[in-house]
Amino acid sequence: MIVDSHTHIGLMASFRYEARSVSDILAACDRAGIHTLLACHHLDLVYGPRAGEEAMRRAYEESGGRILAYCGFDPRLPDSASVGERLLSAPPYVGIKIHPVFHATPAEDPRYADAFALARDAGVPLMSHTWYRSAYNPPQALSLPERFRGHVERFPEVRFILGHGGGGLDGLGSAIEMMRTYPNVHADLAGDVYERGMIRRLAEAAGPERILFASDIPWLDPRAQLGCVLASGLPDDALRLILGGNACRIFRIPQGA
Amino acid sequence: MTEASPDPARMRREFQTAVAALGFVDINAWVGSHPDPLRPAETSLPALAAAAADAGIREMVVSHTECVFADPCEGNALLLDAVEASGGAGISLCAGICLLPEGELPGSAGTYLDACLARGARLVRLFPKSHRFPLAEWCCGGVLAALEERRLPLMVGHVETSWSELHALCERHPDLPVIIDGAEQKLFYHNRPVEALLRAHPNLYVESHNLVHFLGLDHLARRVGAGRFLFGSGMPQRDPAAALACVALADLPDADRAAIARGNWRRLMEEVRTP
Repeated sequence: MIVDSHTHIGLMASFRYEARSVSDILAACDRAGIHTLLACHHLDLVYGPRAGEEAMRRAYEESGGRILAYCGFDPRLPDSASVGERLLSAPPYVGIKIHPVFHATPAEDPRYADAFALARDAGVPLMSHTWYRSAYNPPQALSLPERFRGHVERFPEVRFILGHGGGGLDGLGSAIEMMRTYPNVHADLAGDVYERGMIRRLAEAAGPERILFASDIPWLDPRAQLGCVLASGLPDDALRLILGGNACRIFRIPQGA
Repeated sequence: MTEASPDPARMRREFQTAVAALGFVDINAWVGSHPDPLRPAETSLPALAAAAADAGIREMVVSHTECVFADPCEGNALLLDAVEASGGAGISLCAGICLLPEGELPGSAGTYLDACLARGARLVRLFPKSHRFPLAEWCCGGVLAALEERRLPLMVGHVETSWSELHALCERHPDLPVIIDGAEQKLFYHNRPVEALLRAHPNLYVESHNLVHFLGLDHLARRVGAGRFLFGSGMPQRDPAAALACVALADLPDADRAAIARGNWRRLMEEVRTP
């Protein structure tokens, strides 16, 4: 089955969202052939993990279990780890999401060690927003892939995912270097990272078994990244891994028939 | 909704069939070197055309990077030479030239445009921010009037101007087709002013390669009409598959998808007044 491993539920006020409900999202995913979504509620990013819990559980129920959850971890909140421990004890929570830019905290900040320790103890993957140095969005530099090096070395058993794969070509070199150095590092394809040849380059450098199909719903349209994956020229076995096999393995999601 | 393992071969075949059926005209592709060595670039027009044809694109409007980063008139000359020499490229090509305010062009804007039109130019680009001039009548009025007289479409990047400047441009030149190029920054961050401007100005269009907001093209086309969107790939930096998929797989009637893929551009081309 196709798994979109980087999505969100809920809205943010800064622009108009076209999908305003779980049913809108599921209908579009049905048309695109996407079965399972891994989502972090926007409220988790804004106010901390408790804020999105109720809506996330409703989304899980309404979707018949197709929408699984990341719990957001905000290093500035002292109870992030204890809330996360409770949430990760049962579905729909299957992973942890951190966002150095959103939380104005550099990736190497020691407080993120609590998120890695939580991922280790709960046996779940940890995904972070990652990006490159952006001239028009300087805070993105807080999330450069190489800035996670200390945590990744300290927690080799944690399945760590570079969200957005470093943010496109400008962050790809750093993402590839991290993936080549550390076998527990993966990359997802979420975001408007549609540079020509990027997926093939990532797969050839780090292996297709380390890449996760992802879109960033409801920000971005999964059909765009789906087109890039299908047109990447990679063999079908590699595409099956990228489209869902890897996510099922890493998140321990049972695969359908 | 199936839980079965995906069948990439079938999915790829269906995607290619959907693309082929629409006969895409790409109005946003670039030839020439890029100053950032990390950026994919294509210095050979035949190679760019071959890559576009492989992706399923049938026609292409190409611009030259030298127009942006070096000498616009020299870039236009290189481009027009390359387009003229491109017979047998596998797809039909025409030129998207770059203009400056009058005074820097050889002769008047009108004579320069007519010479370029005669050599295959069908689109004009302005780069007000990069080339440091305001998109205002007191600076560009002569060029804008010459474009409007010829109904020659003008493409401007949203990062090259402001929404208020675009509003004034569309209002002052109602017979000039103005196309927003969404390159460089997420266009959907600005989807509120984009929709308001589309509603206000029937001569405003949006090029599609950065219309990648979730369901953005589908819903916006339903609200303001599919006639306001023109397919662009953003090649060679962008993978054309992203923009192709957003149109080919859009949840829109066949006629709307065909209009975005090629029909709207053809209609604009029928209205161009060549010398």
